[in-house]
Parts: sequence; structure tokens; C-alpha cells
Amino acid sequence: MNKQRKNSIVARLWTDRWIYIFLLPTVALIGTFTVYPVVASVWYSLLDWNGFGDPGAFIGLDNYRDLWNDPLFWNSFKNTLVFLVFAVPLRVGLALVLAVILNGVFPFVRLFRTGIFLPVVTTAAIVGVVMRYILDPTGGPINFAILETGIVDQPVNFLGSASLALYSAVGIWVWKWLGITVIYWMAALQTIPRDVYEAAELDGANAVQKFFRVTLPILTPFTLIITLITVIEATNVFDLMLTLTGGGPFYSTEVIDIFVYRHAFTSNIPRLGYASAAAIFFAAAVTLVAAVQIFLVTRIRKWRKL
Amino acid sequence: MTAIEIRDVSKSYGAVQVMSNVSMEIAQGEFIVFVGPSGCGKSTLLRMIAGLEEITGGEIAINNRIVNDDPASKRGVAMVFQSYALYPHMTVEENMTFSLKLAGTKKAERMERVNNAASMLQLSSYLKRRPKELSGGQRQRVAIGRAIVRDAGIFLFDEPLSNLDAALRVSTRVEIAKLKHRLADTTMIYVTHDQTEAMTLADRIVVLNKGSVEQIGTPEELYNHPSNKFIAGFIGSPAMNMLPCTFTVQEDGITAQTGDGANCDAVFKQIDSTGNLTSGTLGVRPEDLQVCNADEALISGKVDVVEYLGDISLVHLSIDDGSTVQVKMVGPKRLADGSEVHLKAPAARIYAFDADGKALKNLMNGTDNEH
Ligand SMILES: Nc1ncnc2c1ncn2[C@@H]1O[C@H](COP(=O)(O)OP(=O)(O)OP(=O)(O)O)[C@@H](O)[C@H]1O
Ligand SMILES: [Mg+2]
Repeated sequence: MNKQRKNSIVARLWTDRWIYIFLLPTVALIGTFTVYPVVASVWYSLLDWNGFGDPGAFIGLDNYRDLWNDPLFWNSFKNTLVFLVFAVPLRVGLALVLAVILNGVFPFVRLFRTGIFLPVVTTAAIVGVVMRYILDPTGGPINFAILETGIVDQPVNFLGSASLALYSAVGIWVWKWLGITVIYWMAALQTIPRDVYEAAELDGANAVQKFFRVTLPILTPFTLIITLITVIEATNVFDLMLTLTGGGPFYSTEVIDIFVYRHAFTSNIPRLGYASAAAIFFAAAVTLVAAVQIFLVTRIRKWRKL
Repeated sequence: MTAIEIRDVSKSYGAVQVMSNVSMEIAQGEFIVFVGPSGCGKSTLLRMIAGLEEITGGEIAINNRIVNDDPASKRGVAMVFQSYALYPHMTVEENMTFSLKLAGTKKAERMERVNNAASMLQLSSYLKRRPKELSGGQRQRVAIGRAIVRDAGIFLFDEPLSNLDAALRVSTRVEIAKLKHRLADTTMIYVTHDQTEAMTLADRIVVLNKGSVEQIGTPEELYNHPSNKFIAGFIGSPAMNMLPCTFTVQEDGITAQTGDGANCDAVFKQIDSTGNLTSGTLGVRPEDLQVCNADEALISGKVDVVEYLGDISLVHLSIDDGSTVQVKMVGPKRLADGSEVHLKAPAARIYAFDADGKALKNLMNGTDNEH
């Protein structure tokens, strides 16, 4: 019986052999550029290695112990968390409001949709460089404008002040990626039939009640998924942050990605093993958050029977 | 008492006019059915009454108050949608009480009204379920329940049964008929494609065509005295047979001739126009035709197909000029294909229409012709 089954699997693999041949290039690429680096990082994180020459000595979990005691690691961990806590709700919430507005019919609605989507297709690194000029305290147009209006009497050093830089980065990141989330929300809003709103209107609901008691609850499954996607995206802001602030001033915008990059490639004594340990540790943390979120999503779905 | 008055209402989308000069008065407690071919504007008119569609011309008054500019929520109307339009995230009970919650009704009263409506619609054991967990028929009953709980003076139904299968459609139709008796003071407007629904439920039927009213009347009036050829062909199933004819105007009335040797005893009179009358159409309902001898025949034709439907048989004949005629005969009929059949109809049951499709008055058809 068992043998027969085995035979049939082998036979089936053999009959479908063309499929596997066509899959080969993809498997090779993903293996080389995704699976291998992940596995290699796990291994490197157990080594005392600068990334050049022969792999260094196996030191077990020493890198992780150092990490645990490194205040700059926890600083970057905290920065990433602060970034998440501010950027995710802002991006998800603002995008929903915009999606509801842009779902309506009014003049130039297409123009607005395009306008909001434009930063999404701009390279993050370019956005970072351009924003440095725009937000420059000496001659940047934003400072020029707010000085003109008289709201402030000193130029605001958006990116150069340690207390402000991370929040400026949040703002720029939200602005850059808002369009894509707006698209997600608009797709989600399409799933609510128009006559449900009409029924709500006849039931006496005003616009605010329709939003909070009809739209939002119906969108809950989408909210959970969109938030999950955004959380994961918000842990990956390397390109923007590197060009915008490079992690400064005084490590105030050094998020995990920058921390890893600094230790692996730019510090005087590169420590690839240490950087790998940081990356792995953080990846584990993100996976945990994602797992909790997915667990909650399925729970809520079951509970609401959607 | 007039519940709804529609005065010269028209509707355009941009430059396209889809309704023109629709007027009618609907009394309180009346059950009105809008019928008409697809795209004739039934839903549009209903939605204008509900306040979901802007009125671009004329006026609609509810309880003697012009509501053109009132929002839907202020008109005191409840609507049952073809697609049910239930709130998917709410239980049956929450669906039914949403309007009451918004209006700030006390919980005790909400529960009482829900329980009343639920027992009326046999939904009591489903109150805690969500729409996903209900069958189509149950969902439609929840949608009706939502209207009942509102205690609105006017119920609007837009093809509420068209998503249900045939058996369920019949039983839900009966439910709606019962509802109509139980809520005798509630004015109901019901849109449908389905003739049976229209004939069985309506106090009065409004037949719409291409955005205007063709005729308003009780089911009997529309069936017996259609005001034009469109109504005659639209009401009644299978549709009335139409035969081209020529008219002869004589002193004591107008007679009609359909072909060589055909017998038509009916005498007609033009109703209000006196224009030149030469040719037009004769109409005979399939249920009014009977087999007869060749010398008394109004129509003679050859059998094409016999459809046996249990209680009746529907016989399709083709006649010499190439058109077809349908006849309803009681019980099973064994008629050989191609065999010759002669048919007559009582003179009082023959209809005539002038070249514009306007009905002539049948003088053989007693006094009940006046309407
Ligand atoms: N938003 C719109 N823009 C332009 N024309 C419209 C719009 N909505 C409806 N119409 C037109 O108005 C006419 C009436 O539509 P309506 O939906 O009232 O028809 P209906 O009688 O309900 O048809 P059905 O039996 O198929 O539901 C149709 O010719 C339709 O094409
Ligand atoms: Mg319709």
C-alpha cells in the first residue's frame, strides 16, 4: 500500500517534470538571494567575523549577549518602535480618510488620486535627498514659507534636531507611501455595496454615523491586513532614512536597519557577525508581532463570522 | 387620505431624460405595484420617492408635504432592496434595530418591536445570527422586518423577490400579501417584473413604459380594459394575440375584418378621438379562444406545437399571413402537428386598437367598460 503510494508520487513527479524545470529559475533566484542570505546570516550571527577574509571564530551566542548589553542597539530598537507607533496609525488612518473622500465623485478627483500616488513611484533614496533640501533650515522652501506666515520666528531644523528628526522622518515616510495604502482602502471600500449605504441613509444615519457604524466595522478584516502590511513595511525604511539623515543626529533616527548597516559596512571595525545577530534578533521580534497580529485576525474573523 | 402625490415628475441624468411627466395619487394604505419592461424607470421613480435619487422636475408630496428637498431619512419611508442590503456585520436583531438605535429609542421598546416583527416573519429563532448564516428567503424577511420595525408609514419594495427561487418566491409573495392585511394603514409601493406578483398583490397597478405612465388601474381594469395595445400585450400571460385588421366605419359602429371569411361580430366605437380609422389591430386573449367550425371561425391556423402544462395546454398555431397565435385549452390536447384548427371568441372579449395603438370601445362589452 505504502509502496504503491510512493510509486504514484514518484510517477506523478515524473509526469509533471516539465513543471519543475520551469520552476527551476525562480527557485534558484529565491534560493540565492533570499533563502541563502537568511540562512547565512543566522550562521554569521554566531561568528566573530568582520565580513572580510576567512570566516571568524565560532563564538556561540556571544554576539547576542553583546547586543543585549548595547545601549545603541536598544536605542535603535526603540527608534524603530517609535517609528512604528506613529507612522503606522498615521499612514493607515490618513489613507482611509483620503480613500473615503477620493471614492466620492467631485471635480478633478482623478487628478487628486494621481497626485497622492506620485510619491509612491518616486525612488525612496531620491525622496530622501530632495527632502533634505526642502526641509533645510537655511533656505529650504518649507522654512521659508512658515517663517513668512509668522507661525515661528526661528527656522525649524526638521532633520537636524535630535528631538524632531525622527518625527520628521515619520511625516516624510507617511507622505511617500500614503498613495499605496489609499489604493488598498479604495479597493476595500469597493466591496461595500452602495445599497447598504442607502439602507443606512433611510435608517437615518448621517455621514459620520455611516462611517463609524457601517463602513469601519465592515472593513475590519481589511483594517487588520492593511495594518499588518504597513507594520512590516515600516520596519524597512533603510533607503529613505539613510539618504534623509543617515541615522543622525546623535543616533536619534538610527532605526534597526541603519544600526545593522553601520555595524556591517561603515564602522571603523566592521562586525558582520554582530550586525547579523542584530538583524536576526529584530527579524524574530517582527515575526512575533506579525504572528500575534495574524492570530488576532483569524480570531476576529471567526468571531465576526466574516 | 392621500399618502403620496406625484405631480408631473420627470428625471434626467445630464442631458438624458429617463422619466417625463409622471403623475399619480396614492391613497393611504393602498398597495401599488409598478410594472413595466426593463429600463422603463420603475426603480428610478421608487428611488425618487425614497429620496435616494434627486427629482429633476415636478413635485412629490408625502402626507401633503412636498418632500423634494427632504433627505431620505426625513421622509418616513422604509425600503426593501432587491439585494436585501443588510448590514453584514450586524446580527438580525441589530439589523432590525439600527434605525431605532440611531433615533435613540429605549432598549425595552426596541426589543418589543423587534420581537413583534420577528414573530410576524418567523424570524424569532434567528435573531442572533448574522446575514451570512441565513438563506436568501430569510435574509429577505429580515430586510422586510427592518422596514416593519421602523414603523414607517410607507414601504417601498424594489423587486424584493427576484433573487429567490420559484418556490420561495411564491411563499414569500404570500407572506407579503398577509403583511399587507396586517399593516392595513401602511402604504406600500412594490416594483416588479413579475405579472403574477403584480396581479395578486396590487390594489392598483401602474404600468410604466419608456419613462411615462401608460395606465393606472386595478388588476381587473388593466386586464379587461387595457387603454392601449402596449398594456394589452403586457398584462396577461401568455400575451394577447394581435392580428392586423381593417376597419369599416358604419352608422351604428365600427366593424373589423381580419382576412378572408373571418367572422368578427364585435362592434366598436372610438373613445375620444374621431380621426380617420382605416386599419389597426384586433386583440384576443389566448384564454378567450375556443375551437369551432370553419364557417364561424375568427382565426384559422395550423398547429405548430402543443405545450402541455398540466391543467391546461398551450397550443401554438401559425396562420396564413405568417404570424402566430396562442390558445389556452383546458386539459391535455392531442392535436397532430400541422392539423387545421378553427377558433372563435365571444364578441365581448375581442379588443381593437387603432393605428396608434389606442384602444377602441367594444360596444358588445356591457357597461363595465366605463372607467
Ligand atoms: N445613473 C444613471 N445614469 C444614467 N442613466 C441611468 C442611470 N440610472 C438609470 N438610468 C437609466 O434610467 C432608465 C430607468 O432605469 P431604472 O433602473 O429605473 O429601470 P427599471 O425600470 O428599474 O429597470 P429594471 O426592471 O431592469 O430594474 C434606464 O434607461 C437607465 O438606463
Ligand atoms: Mg429596477
